[in-house]
Amino acid sequence: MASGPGSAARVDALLQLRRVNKHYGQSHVLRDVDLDVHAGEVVVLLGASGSGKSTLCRCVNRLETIDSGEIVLDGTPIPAEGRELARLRAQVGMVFQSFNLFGHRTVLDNITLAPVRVRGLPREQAEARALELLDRVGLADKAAAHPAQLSGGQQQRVAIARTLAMDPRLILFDEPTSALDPEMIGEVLEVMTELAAEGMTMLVVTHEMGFARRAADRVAFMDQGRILETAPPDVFFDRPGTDRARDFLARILRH
Amino acid sequence: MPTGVLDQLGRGLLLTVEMTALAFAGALVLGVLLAVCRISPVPPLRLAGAAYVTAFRNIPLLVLLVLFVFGLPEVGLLYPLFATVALTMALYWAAFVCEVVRSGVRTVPRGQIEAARALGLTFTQCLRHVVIPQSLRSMVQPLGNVFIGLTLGTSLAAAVGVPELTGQAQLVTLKYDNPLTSFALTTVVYVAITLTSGVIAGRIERKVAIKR
Amino acid sequence: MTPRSSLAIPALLLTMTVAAGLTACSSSSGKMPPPPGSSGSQPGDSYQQVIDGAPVAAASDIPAGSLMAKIKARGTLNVGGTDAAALFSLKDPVSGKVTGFDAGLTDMLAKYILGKPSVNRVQVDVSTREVLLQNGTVDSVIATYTITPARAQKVGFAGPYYSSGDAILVRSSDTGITQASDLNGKSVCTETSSTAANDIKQFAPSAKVVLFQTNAECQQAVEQGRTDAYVLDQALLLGDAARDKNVKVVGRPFTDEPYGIGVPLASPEMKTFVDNWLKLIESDGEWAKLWKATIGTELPGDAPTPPVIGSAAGS
Repeated sequence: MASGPGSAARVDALLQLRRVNKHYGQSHVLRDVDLDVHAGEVVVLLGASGSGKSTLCRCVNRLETIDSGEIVLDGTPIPAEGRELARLRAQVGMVFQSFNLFGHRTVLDNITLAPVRVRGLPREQAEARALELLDRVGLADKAAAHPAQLSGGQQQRVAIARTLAMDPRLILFDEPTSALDPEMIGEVLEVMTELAAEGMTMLVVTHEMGFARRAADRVAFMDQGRILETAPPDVFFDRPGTDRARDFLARILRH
Repeated sequence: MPTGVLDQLGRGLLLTVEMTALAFAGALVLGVLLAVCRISPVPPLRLAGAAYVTAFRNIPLLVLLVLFVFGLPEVGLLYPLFATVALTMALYWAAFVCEVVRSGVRTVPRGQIEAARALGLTFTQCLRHVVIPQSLRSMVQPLGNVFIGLTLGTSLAAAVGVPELTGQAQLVTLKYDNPLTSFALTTVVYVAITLTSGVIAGRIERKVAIKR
Repeated sequence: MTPRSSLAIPALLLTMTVAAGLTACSSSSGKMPPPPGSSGSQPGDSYQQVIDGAPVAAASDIPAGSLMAKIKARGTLNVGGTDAAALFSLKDPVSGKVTGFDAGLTDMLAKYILGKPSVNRVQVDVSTREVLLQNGTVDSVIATYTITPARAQKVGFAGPYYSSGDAILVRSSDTGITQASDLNGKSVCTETSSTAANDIKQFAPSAKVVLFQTNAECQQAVEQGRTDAYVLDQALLLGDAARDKNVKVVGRPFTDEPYGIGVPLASPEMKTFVDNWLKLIESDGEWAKLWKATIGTELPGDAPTPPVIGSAAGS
C-alpha cells in the first residue's frame, strides 16, 4: 500500500482535476470530474466502455480539449496550443492502446527522437540511455529492429521505454493492454507493475482487475462521465460503495 | 526539314525545360507552405489556405495566364512574359501540390501524430520528423502527375506569347506550312519528358519507401 | 477541419474580386469595341443607300446550268464570311445586322444575282475556307481572303477587289517606328495563326517576334508596352486604331495582300460572272461609295483606285 505523500503534512497533488466537463456534440462525456493524483501515486480508472475514462486520460495532456473546469499540473494550469503545451507534454508521458511507434524509425530511433529533438540531449547520451531502458524492458537485442518486426507486446514495451526516456513526472496509460493477444498482456503488466513499485506517478485506464488490485494506490470508478467513487483497491473490490460499481464488478467477475 | 528548324525547336525546348523547372520548384515550395497552413492548428491560416486552393483550382490555367499576362500590366505590374507565365504556373500548380501534400499527410495514422505531440514535439517538429517522412511515399506518384501536368501545361504559354516548344512549333509551321511534322516532333519530345519523369518518380518512390 | 461550404464563399469572393478588378481595368482603357454606328460619322444611312442603289444582273447574264442559276433557283446566296471583322464585316449586337466593306459586297452580289440582298452567311476561318468552297457548302467566300497561288490551286479567285497588306500598329506616343525596317531590334507581336510572323522576319530580321492568340491580346500587348509594335493586315489594324485612340497605324502596307472573292474551282463561270460584276460596280462608282461608307469612315481622303481585276497571281 502507498507509503506516498500521506505521511507528510497535506501537500498539493501533482495532478488536479477540478469540475472538468466535456461534450461530444449532444453527449455529455465528462461531468464535473474532480480527481487528484499525488506524486508517486498510482491511480487506476475503472468503468464500463463509454464511461469516459479514456477521454479523461486524454484530456490531461490535452489530446482532447475540455469545455469547462481546470486541469492543473504541479500548480500550473495546462496551457492552450503552442510551445508551452509542448513543454508540458514533455513532462507527461503517454502510452497508447495501439502503441503508436513511429513506423519509419528503428526501435532505438523511436526512443531517442524526443530526448534529442525536444530536450536537446546529445545523441550518444540519448542512445546510451535508450539502450539502458531497452534492457530494462527486456528488449536490448531489438534496438535496430523496425516496429513492424516486433510482436504487440514487444511494441508496447518499446513504447513504455520511449515514454520513460523523457523522464516524465507522470505517465498516462490509455488501455495499454487492450490491443494485445492474451499471452502478451502479462509481459506489459509486469513492466508497469515494476514502474509502480519504483514510485512512478501513474494514471492508468485498464480492464485488468488483477493489475488494479496489485499495483494501484487508489481506484476511481467512472460511470456515465462521473467519478462515482474513489477508494483503495481492497476497499473498492471487497466493499464497493455504489450499486453501479457492484453491478460492474459482478459483470467483470462473471467472465 | 531544314536544320534551322531543329535549331528553333531546340531553343523552344530549352525554354520549356526552364519554365517547367522554375514553375515546379515554385509550386513545390508554395504548395508545401499552403499545405502546412491547411493542416495547422490556426483557423485563419487554415481558411486562407483553403480559399487559395479553391480559387486557383477552379480557374482554367489559360484564363489565369491571360488574366496575369494582360491584367497585371493594367495595375502597373509589367514583368517579362517568361517571368509572368512561370509565376502564374507556379501559383496555379501550388494549389495541386498543396492537395497532394495534404492528402499524403492524411495517410499517416492519427496515432502517430498523437504519439509525437504527447512526447512534446512541436507542430513543425512533428511534421518534419514523423509526418512528412511517412507520407513522402504516398506523395511521390501524385507529385509526378502534377509534374507531368505542369510540363504539358507549359504549352499553354505559347498562347500568351512565350516561344517555348509549342510556340516554336507554331512559328515553324507558319514558315514551312508543314504542321504535321513539327507537331509530331514536339509530341515526341513531350512524351519523352513525361515518360522519363514517370520512371524517375518510380525510382524515387522505391527510395523513400519505409522499410518494414 | 473547417466545413467545405464555408470555404467556397471566401474563395468565390476572391475570384470575383480579381475578375471584377480586371474587367474594370479593361473597360477604363477603352478596350470594348463601340457598337458600329456609334462612332462619329454615321455609316448606317449611306451604307444602306449603297446597297439599295446596287445593280441587278440581266437575265441573259445568268445562263441555265450555271452556279448563278442554281443560286437564283435557291433564292439565297450561301457565302462564307465572318461577323467579327471591324470595318469589313461586323455584326451589330443590337440589330443583328452585319455591315462593313465585305458585308456590303456580299449584299450587293446577292442582289446582283437574286434582285434582293438575301444572304446566308456561314462563319469561316483560315482553316475552313477552302474546304467549304470545295464541298459546296458556300457559293463564295468574301472574308478579307488573300489571293495566293497556293490557294488558287484549290479554289478560284475573282478580283482582287481590294489591296491590303501588313502594316504596323504602335502606341500613339511612339514616334520611333514609321516603317518596317524600324522594327529591327524591337519586340513585335502578331497573331498566332497569321503569316505576318514570316513577313516580320523578312523585313526586319532582328525583330523579336511574339505570338498571341487574338487581335485583342496583340493590341493590348502594344498598349501595355509588352511589345513595341503589332504587325498584321492593315485593314484589321485600322479597325483597332479606330476603337482605341491609344494606338495608331503607321506607314504604308509593306506587303501586298490582294483580297479576292473565293469561288468554287469547279465553277469558272461564277469567277467570270463575279469579275464582270466587280468591273461594273467599280466603273459605276458603287465600289467607291461602299468604301466611303465603311473603310472610309476611319481613313481620310477619297476612295483609292481599286486594284485591276486579274492583276494578282492566282486571280
